[in-house]
Amino acid sequence: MADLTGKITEIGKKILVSVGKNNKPTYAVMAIATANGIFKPISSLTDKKEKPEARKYAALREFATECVAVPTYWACGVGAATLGAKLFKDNPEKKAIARANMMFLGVCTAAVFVIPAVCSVALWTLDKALGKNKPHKKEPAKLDIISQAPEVQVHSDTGTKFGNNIYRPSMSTFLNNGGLKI
Amino acid sequence: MIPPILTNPAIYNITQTTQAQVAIETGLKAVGRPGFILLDNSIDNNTKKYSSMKEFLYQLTCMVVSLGVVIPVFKKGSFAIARKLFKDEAVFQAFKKSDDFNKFRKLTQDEKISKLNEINSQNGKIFDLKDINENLAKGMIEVTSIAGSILGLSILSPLISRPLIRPVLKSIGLGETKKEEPQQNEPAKVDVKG
Repeated sequence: MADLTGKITEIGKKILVSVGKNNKPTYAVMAIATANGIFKPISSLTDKKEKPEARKYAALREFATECVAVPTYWACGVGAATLGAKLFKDNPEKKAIARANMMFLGVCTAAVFVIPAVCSVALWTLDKALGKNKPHKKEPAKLDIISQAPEVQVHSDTGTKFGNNIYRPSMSTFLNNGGLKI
Repeated sequence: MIPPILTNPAIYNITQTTQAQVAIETGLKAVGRPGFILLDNSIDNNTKKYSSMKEFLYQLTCMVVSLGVVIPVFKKGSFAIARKLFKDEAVFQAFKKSDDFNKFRKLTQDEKISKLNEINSQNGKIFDLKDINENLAKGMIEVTSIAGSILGLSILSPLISRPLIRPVLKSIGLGETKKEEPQQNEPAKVDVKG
């Protein structure tokens, strides 16, 4: 048991020394993204104010976002670091600094641009697969005949008042509509 | 022409600190994610405004919680944990706090020797400069900061932001957009018996 504890401590010490020598920006962001992928969906699923369907959907979206984020951080960071090393391949001192700085820039680019862009596409595809991506229903153009028509002036005071009733004469009043009524 | 920022030692020092990495990355997320929501043409304007503001406030909460509370607490506790894990390490015996060690790291070689002599005279122990494992201590600070960031960003922030964000959004007139339910016209019941 003491041997096992000693071995674990030794491995832990090696990891700590390695992080102390070079704390790569990808370590923190990838660890946080992984944890976000586990804990944020759990948090969404336990939100009692949301409907169960909305909870599941939010959790799925959060999980998918972090699934995109982890490899993107790694790819952008390592890709930029490799480019930085190539730019200063003749100067070993500057090469190490350029590697770290470029990796940081790669991670920042991933955070501000690449991940949101990839997520937009990935989540749109997910929505489509789930049948949530409904196209906007455009209302059919209404035929506007009211505004185009000339305004008809209605005189409300025409007619003869009998108490509260207004009597408006019309042509039918004066026409002989008589005849044989069955 | 290669920009000098790529080989700038000051930027290198920033990139090596977890606290700075998390702060910059969260700040960029607070700009990037709402920006992309606003650019999305497949959602209507009200939903765009609501979602982008919600994301912005969430990232802001993350930043405040992790940088203001969690990382400082973990950073301070890092040497206390390390003293229990690595009892024989001179660096954790010589320095009681991580801040003392960080100050020591920035000193020149001669200044470090004189500082150690000062510590030796105070503690009654003899620490040699070659016994001080700086990488181990630096690694301990950074790893505990990463652990603090995980706790702050992934566990505490979603719990804290939930009751905070909704009232803030309501107060600025961005309440959750309710979907209009189609009115169902019930067929008129025919009273056959009556």
